[in-house]
Amino acid sequence: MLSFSSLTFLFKICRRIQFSDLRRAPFVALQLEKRSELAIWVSNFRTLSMGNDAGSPQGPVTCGSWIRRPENLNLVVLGRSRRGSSCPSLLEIFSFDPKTTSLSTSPLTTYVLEAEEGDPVAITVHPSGDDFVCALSNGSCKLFELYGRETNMKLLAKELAPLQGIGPQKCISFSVDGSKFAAGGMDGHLRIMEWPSMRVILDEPRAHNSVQDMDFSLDSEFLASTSTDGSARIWKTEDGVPLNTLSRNSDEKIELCRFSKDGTKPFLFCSVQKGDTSVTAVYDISTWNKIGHKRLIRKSASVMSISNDGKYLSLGSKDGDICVVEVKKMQIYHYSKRLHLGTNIASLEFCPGERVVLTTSVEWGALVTKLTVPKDWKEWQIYLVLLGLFLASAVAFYIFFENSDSFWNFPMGKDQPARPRFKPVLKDPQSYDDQNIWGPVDM
Amino acid sequence: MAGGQLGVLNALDVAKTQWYHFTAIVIAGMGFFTDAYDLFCISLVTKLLGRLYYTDITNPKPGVLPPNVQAAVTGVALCGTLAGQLFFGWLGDKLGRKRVYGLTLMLMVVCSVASGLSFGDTPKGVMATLCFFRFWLGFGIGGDYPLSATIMSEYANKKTRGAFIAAVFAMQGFGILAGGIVALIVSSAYDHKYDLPSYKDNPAGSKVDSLDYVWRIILMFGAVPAGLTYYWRMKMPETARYTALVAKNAKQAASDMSKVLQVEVEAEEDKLQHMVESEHQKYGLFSKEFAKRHGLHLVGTTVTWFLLDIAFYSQNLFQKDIFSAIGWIPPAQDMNAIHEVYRIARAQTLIALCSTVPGYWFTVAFIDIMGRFAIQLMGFFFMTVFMFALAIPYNHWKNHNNIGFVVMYSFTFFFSNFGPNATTFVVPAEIFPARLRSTCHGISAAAGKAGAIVGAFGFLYAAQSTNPDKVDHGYPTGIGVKNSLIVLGVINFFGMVFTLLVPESKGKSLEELSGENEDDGAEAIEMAGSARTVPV
Repeated sequence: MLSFSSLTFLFKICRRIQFSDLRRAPFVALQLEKRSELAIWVSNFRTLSMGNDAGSPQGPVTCGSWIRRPENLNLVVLGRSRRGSSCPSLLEIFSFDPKTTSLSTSPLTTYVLEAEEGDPVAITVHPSGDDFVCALSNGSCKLFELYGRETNMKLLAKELAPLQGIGPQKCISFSVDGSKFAAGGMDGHLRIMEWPSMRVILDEPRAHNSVQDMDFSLDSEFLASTSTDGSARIWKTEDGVPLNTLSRNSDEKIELCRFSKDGTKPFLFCSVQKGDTSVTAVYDISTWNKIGHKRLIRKSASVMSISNDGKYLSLGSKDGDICVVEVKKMQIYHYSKRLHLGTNIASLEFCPGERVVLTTSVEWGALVTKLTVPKDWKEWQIYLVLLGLFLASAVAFYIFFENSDSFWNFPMGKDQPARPRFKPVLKDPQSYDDQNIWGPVDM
Repeated sequence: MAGGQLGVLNALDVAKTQWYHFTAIVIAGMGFFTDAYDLFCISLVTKLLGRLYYTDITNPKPGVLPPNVQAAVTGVALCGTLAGQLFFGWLGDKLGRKRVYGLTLMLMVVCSVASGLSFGDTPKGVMATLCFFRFWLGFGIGGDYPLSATIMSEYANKKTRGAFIAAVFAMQGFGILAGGIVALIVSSAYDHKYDLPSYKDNPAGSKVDSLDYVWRIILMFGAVPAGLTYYWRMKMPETARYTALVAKNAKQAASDMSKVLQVEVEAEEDKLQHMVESEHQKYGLFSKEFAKRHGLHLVGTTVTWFLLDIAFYSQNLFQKDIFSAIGWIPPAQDMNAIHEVYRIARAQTLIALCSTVPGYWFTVAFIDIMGRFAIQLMGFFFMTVFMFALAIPYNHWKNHNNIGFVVMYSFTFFFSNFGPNATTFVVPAEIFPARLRSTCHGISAAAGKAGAIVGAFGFLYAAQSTNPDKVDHGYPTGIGVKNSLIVLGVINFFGMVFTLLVPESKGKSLEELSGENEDDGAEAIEMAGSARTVPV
């Protein structure tokens, strides 16, 4: 049953978005963005509608992540918590359509969690794209393997013995090369393990007051972790030795951290709360000194993410805004105001192959947003430039070829004044004959 | 990406030397191998081209390429290399260098094959087509060379980086060797198939039309290593290294980042000191401070690289003329066309096998023991000595002692590679401050390329005889081989002199060398080893 208030509310949301876009984006982008946004809302509305019709609405989305599959296929995994007694906790896999910038309307596969397992808290996907780990609210972590093709996808659950009953984990993460796994608990317990052997590298019960965020470096050599008390530590992943504590002023609280993914920029980006202001600080990972800071997002940041190629950094706020920053110039290239209206953004992640971000919040569920950033060069454009240069030089070569006979030909005898006169007379017919008799066969 | 491939990167760092490392060495080194093969195989076939397309059977000497054509065929790839470096450098900055791997290698494959093809059968058409595609082959090489260096630094094992770089380094010598071997195989096969008379006995009969295939096969074979390189690189996982740390560019990166951020406001006293430090360190390339601190260093690195490449490229491209001049290769009229290719290839291969390749390995073994300064000085010194030893008693060598001449000539190659050829690349990457390092290195490298062009084009004319009767057809008289060797000896001597302007960088951190450490309170992290590569 459609309720009048829901419909009115949806109308207001669309109207607000439209108004906001008019100020910020050019017309073409506005059309694209508006269509995408409307498609998303309609999609959500239909989902809610179907849910309502069935008489059992789904639980809120608690976490989400991209899954990179072969052949440039991208999937999304969402975790839903239970709602009441009739809606169990779920893990759902959706496919992503880059043409329409939307998720599939129904999941490819669903996994229902048992009641005693609790709700999904965090998801991290292995770089291979074949499996992911989900942290559950009952204090365990579970491994899920993804197999089958897109039309016949299944999830297979496995227990991870070292991660049973370890208490709720705030963040879990795989290293960039997929060889290590880290878990940061709400009790401040930090673990680093080899993957998939699960050999323990670090098992530190008092790493932090309570772990808030963590990230592996691009070369998988360092792990940065932050605490709810504002401190941040750097660990060597090879042997688990604590390397450094990031410097900060007394009024600063380091909340989020992400390592750069651009090999030419060895930095660690941190979201720092200074009083009522949230700024993004940059640390040099060769010295662990702070280089500087910049204010990027207007409200407090709740989540931070970096694109796979390292070009863009994204922040999500506790008020539902997201902004996307180009790393080289630290300039805002995309700002979506109140993408999740008035709600803390729980997850924010860049699509592996497209300029699209996935955001989730408890109130508004999962959204995919196409970013208004400069388009990357495509492969075919590069080939076109090179082909153009090639053809231009071919034309130049041909013109030179046609207009410079003297360059290529053997100098004629007459150019050598010292030569006796009778030789040229004899030479000419011989040259002619030589050309015919001894020239190479026409290929 | 498969998990197994990702594991390679982890294994490269953690494990001791295993199969992964040899695989990585081959993959990283294939780029250098391909570049060296393609650039230098042309010198094996220019004599044959002259015979096939420019022979006048009424002339007692076999045909040779006219001077314009010889210069164009020989040097056009070098011009393409320069253009390619500029274009792909720009493209790499825009797109990220990984994305242009496939582009450069496919360009090299296509143009290697195409350079063996022709439009039409006239000498003009064949030579024009060859020059066109050699230019674009050089263009691809210009793009590939810095990428090969990047791959090497990115996949080097942290613990055994020095040995890794050494092995990749040596692939360049193997590329030159491979060119000679391919030419030997092809020319031997044709020599057995056709029993041709020498030019002197039968000018018309000393070549057959199918010899046209010989030079085409040798050039087109360059597509094989390029194709293999492409295949293997596409299987490599994406980079997972902070290349800025590996290449010791972290300070430059941090400096660039600080320009777009708000820097912390400091207390008044700290602020004053900070301003002083900033002023002291922020001199630019064209400032008085740079000229005072590093002006002579830049002159030293630029001039030494320029002088080296004059000698290096002229030796490589025209050693066959020297062999003929001293009789190790008989006069052209005493051989048939295919036998000439065989003799040239054999001579060049022996030089590469006995001198160039060992020279590389000696440099790698001793560069951190003797130091760059000593190696460069010693290299230039012995090159000077051997050049003069060849040139001054030239007539004696020519008439009495062929083997002695070849041995002495080999030593110039040995000390070129166990000497300035390697150090002129390493030193500019170490002695300049971070902000200006890539610029200064680029200036020095550009000077090296200019020297290569001077060597390739200039020596061709200079080596002609002073006697008009002995000059190759179409060339003006030159100063002769003897005097050319004297000129090269003088060039090497000046290289030795200008080496004195370059400081020793062995065992010192980059900050100490560039003077940054005098002002910085914080010590930079010492990164073990440095990426060392030599230009093709």
